[in-house]
Amino acid sequence: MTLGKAEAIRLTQRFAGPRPVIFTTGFASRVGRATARDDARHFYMLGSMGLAGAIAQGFALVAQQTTFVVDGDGALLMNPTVLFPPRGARPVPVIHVVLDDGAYQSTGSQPTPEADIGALARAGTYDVVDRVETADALYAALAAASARLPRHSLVHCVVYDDLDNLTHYPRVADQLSSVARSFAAR
Amino acid sequence: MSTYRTAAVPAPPERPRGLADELAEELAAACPGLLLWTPCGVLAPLARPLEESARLLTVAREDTAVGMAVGSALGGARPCVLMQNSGLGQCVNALASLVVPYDVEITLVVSLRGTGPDDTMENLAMGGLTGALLDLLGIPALTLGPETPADAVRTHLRRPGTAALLIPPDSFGWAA
Repeated sequence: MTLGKAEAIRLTQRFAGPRPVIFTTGFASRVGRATARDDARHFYMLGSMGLAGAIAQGFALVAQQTTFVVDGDGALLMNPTVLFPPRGARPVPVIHVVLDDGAYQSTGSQPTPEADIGALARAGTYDVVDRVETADALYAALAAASARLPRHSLVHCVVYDDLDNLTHYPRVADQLSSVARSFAAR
Repeated sequence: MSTYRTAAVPAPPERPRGLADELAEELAAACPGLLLWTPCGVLAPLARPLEESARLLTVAREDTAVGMAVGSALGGARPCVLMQNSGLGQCVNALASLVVPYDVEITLVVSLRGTGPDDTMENLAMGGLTGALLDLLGIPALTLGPETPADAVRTHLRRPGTAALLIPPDSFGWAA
């Protein structure tokens, strides 16, 4: 594997540009915040681990805007029900990126449970699940997922820990109500 | 009125209108953005007319429904989540770390299993905790009673900020 976690986050948000991105709690939010561009529309979900996909679905359902999720394997396994949208619900334009480093990095890199993320996603309503291990493959998967919208796509990124200097990625210090207001106002 | 389901649930045979139908109308009017629920027997009569109009989406877990509601609120909707109070237990973290600190406005309709005529042992603890839990979270709650004026319910459902309407077990004819 040659794809670093921070690199995958940066690439995803660069691909998303001004389109909405929901970041799961922990380092995903920290990297997303630290590397956000001026025109970024980010929601940093601090706490409520496991709900990033649900927030994206609810937003995309109402706003009908392409919405990206930057999730983690531990977060997804904490609440896999986000992979199972309501029966009969209209398709929502969500592209779900799951960064799989096999560890709960924020709490000391304890190993996450054994799980086949791709099989889990396919058991839900995700039509296409791409497994990628390189930056080029991630970019290609995001482009393909965009072309398939509103069909659900999940990009399973197998990543290594490239967060060697955490001072580059401080905790998100914004008022959380401001995070919500800023995201909603765009 | 837009809906987010592709089809309504087939309507059952005609039945007399009751309190549940009236409250369903109030909910649909107060929360036109998105209605979500995880099924609850006490709330089923309330959910039925909302399902028939294709406005209600069923979500596997209550906290997932809260997450979707938050997302929809960020998109400009005033959403509502209906749940049993056992599911409120699943939602504590979603409410405490997402809804409250991010100051997102959603409406909760929560049944009160384990209170009044419901003496099922598995529900008693949550029945006793529900009001206190919401109070500690700073979420104002109104309990529906036989004498609660319709105006009070309407005002509560339309108040700014997150709010909860609590539904005792026998409100719509449920029996243990």
